Amino acid sequence: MEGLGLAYLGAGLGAGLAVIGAGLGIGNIAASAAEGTARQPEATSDIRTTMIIAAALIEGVALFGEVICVLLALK
Amino acid sequence: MLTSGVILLQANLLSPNPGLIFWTAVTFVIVLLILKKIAWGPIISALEEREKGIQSSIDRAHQAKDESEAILRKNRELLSKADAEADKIIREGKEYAEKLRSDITGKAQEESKKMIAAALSSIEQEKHRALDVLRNEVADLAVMGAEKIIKNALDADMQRKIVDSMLQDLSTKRN
Amino acid sequence: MKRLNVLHPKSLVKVMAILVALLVNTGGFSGVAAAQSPEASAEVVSGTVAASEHGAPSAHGEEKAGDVIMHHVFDSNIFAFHPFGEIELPKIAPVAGIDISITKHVVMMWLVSAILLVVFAFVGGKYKKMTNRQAPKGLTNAVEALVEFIRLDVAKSNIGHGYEKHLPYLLTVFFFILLCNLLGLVPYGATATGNINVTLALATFTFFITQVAALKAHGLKGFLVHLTAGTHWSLWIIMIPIEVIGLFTKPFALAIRLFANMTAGHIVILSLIFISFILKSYIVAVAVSVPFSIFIYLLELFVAFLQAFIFTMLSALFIGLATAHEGHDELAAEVAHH
Repeated sequence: MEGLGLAYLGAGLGAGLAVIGAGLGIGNIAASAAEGTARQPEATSDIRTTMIIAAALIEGVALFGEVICVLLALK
Repeated sequence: MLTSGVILLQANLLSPNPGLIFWTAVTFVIVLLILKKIAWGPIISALEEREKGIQSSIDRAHQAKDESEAILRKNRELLSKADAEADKIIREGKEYAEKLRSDITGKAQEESKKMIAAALSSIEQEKHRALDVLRNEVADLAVMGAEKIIKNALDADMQRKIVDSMLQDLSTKRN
Repeated sequence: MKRLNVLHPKSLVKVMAILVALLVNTGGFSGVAAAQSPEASAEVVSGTVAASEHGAPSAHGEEKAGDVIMHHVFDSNIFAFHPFGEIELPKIAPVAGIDISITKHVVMMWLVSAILLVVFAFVGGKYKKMTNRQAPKGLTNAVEALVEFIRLDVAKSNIGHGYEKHLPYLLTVFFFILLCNLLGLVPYGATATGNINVTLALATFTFFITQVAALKAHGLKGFLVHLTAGTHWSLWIIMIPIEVIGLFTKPFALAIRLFANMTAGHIVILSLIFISFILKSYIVAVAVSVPFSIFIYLLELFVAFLQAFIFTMLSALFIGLATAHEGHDELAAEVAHH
């Protein structure tokens, strides 16, 4: 039972760490995008598209982490 | 979520289910093919057609604008030309009128001068004629007076006095 | 003034008394049982609540909140309309070792397909009749806005030249995912896109379309050269596996992203609702569960659109990257990292 508990602990911690990383990354993207939009309002739509793509890619990595955590929790 | 972990294990949140993949693929392909035929074809062709229509309308509008600008420019030129023409015509008309006026007045003055001269000459002639008539009348009167005198008394002095007074009268009358 | 001063604390006390009574009353509901063993009472409470929520008597023992949530999210052979009963979906005998029986998510997908076909048959008919000079109205106009968005902002700006070929796929995938996401938010509905198998199948389509487009654009030789990422031959032993993994990661991330987003939203909504059942308190229900779940629900509406858009957008981007002729190496490498 201790091993299972440790697996759950690891899964929870891992999920949290993945979320921290993704949050920092997406936060950075959003900050830069806001700054870029403020500097060049005419490029808003381009910046938004780029931002969404980058955020989606980072989110994808975070989701990989989450999936691994779920798998860990299942073991 | 501890319990949910167990449930995940039982119900296989992440485990592949080939049946569902099969059904998804079949459903999606059928939907894709049908929609391609009934919806995307007409919609996209309509959109493209409209896009082209709008583009050509814009092109046409630009062309029309250019054309109208050219016409406007031409019209302006024509107008300014017409203005100059009109100015010229008016100026010429004025000059002609001025000339005509001076001509007419000159002629009229001449005419009037001529008429005055003719009138003066005719007055002179009339005067001469009247004088002639008067002279004849005076001569007749003198003859008549002489006759009376001769008839009344042939006194020489008296005769002279009469003749003299008559002549005196005549001369005063004449003047 | 004085009268008011006297009255004010009195009314406050009254309100407090009512509130305390309410709290005690609702708390007292299970207070007797909770007094002995809080854990056991919580289990009993959630069990009864889950059973009542589930409609059916708990024949196979007590169900916990987690069970109910997972039951809602998972695929099953039973299409439940609690408390109006449930429909057992027919089982089909396995063909070639694959169980192709119809499940809840298959039914939802068919529902989505039916709605899509009806709506777009209507809209397509309108467009066939419409001349160039007429403006679209109502539903046609709404659909046109979305179609135009996918066509110009997603397909044309990401794929560039030759985007028309991939437009039907992108449009279908967008509307299919969007409607699946939205139908999951309807009561009694299930989110077909919240199932990894469905998203994996959709991502596989993107994968094949991307590879076919890359093969067509560069030829077999160009395709193989692309796998080396243009590096020196001594690095090939590292680069080729990375590039090959990159090829598969992209659609896999696509599938996981959609699945995780849709599943997570539903789990969060249900968990928020179950907080009030677990704590068995009206106060928690009114103050926490209902407002927060409404908030998450609205967020989910936004996420439904966003995820459909992102799936379509990334599909277009991958196709664009695969067919691009210049400057795609570093971009592909960047994408491969994720």
